[in-house]
Amino acid sequence: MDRLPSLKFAKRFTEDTLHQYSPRGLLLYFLALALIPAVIIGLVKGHVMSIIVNATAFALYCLAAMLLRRGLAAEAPARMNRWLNSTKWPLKLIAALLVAGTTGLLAALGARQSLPVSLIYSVGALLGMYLSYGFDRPKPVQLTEAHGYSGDEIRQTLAGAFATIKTIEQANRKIFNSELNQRIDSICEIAEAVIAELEADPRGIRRARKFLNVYLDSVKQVTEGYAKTHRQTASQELEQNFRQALEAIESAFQEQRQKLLEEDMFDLDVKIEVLTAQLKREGIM
Amino acid sequence: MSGFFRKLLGFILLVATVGLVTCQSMVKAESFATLAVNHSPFIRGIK
Repeated sequence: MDRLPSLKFAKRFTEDTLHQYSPRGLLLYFLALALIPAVIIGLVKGHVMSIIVNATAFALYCLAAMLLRRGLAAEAPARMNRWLNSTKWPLKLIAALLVAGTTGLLAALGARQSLPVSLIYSVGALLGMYLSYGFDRPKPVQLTEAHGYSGDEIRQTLAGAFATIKTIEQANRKIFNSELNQRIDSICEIAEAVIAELEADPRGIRRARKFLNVYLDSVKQVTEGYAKTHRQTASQELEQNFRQALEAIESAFQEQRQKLLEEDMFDLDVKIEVLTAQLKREGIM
Repeated sequence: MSGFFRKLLGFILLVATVGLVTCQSMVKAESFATLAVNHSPFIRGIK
């Protein structure tokens, strides 16, 4: 039982995975399926116009479904990627307009409806897309400049830190020890809390840059290193060293968070240097 | 409007518009093709 990951860890894992493989947006593919027999009938009967209209409409619906799913995937999950996945194009809006346009044209050319009825179909489809999936969020999180760092620089720093946390979590999934999983999970949660605090108040970014760029990266290296080596060599000593390192990192991170709040950086820097030296000495880094 | 009812209404609208228009297009393709076949000079000649 010791090798099973914790429930909390599973929850964090499934949150990301469900988002990745969500069936949202597949409805459009299903609704367009009736156009396949329409194209086949056109082919069998040799009616060129019917083939062109239905095949084009099918292709446009599939394109809209693809754009919609990309737009949905790029939307920020509750916990992470507020900055990483923000798309340049309003994909959901483009998909909705594409569906509305295709439905109107198909109603007029394929179903031979009058122009007003085709327009009603078109508006109905647009409204349906809006109510079902919404349109794109206007902008990623806005960050104000602080301590000589522009909003973009702060965003990049925070996005980089989030990417590192994600890599640590991926490495954590390869470690089958619930106690170590919990410790790594806890470290990630503290790091996320620090980032959330910086997001709310970016004035601490200058003091936190070293933590976000260097120390978080060290945790990534340590965790990835252990995830790779522990399967090849099931050494108790290595596991014990890793456990001790994680304990030290966890306590240092908690302290880091506290120090960030208290705006006292010097003492923390010394402690993190000592920790880094300790990790190197123990052969983990 | 709660999120659930909003999505349900959106689903109904999508099925009622996109679903209906694709099905109509399929039916029209069949009927148009049948019409075209019935009125073709070649078929009429055979009949």
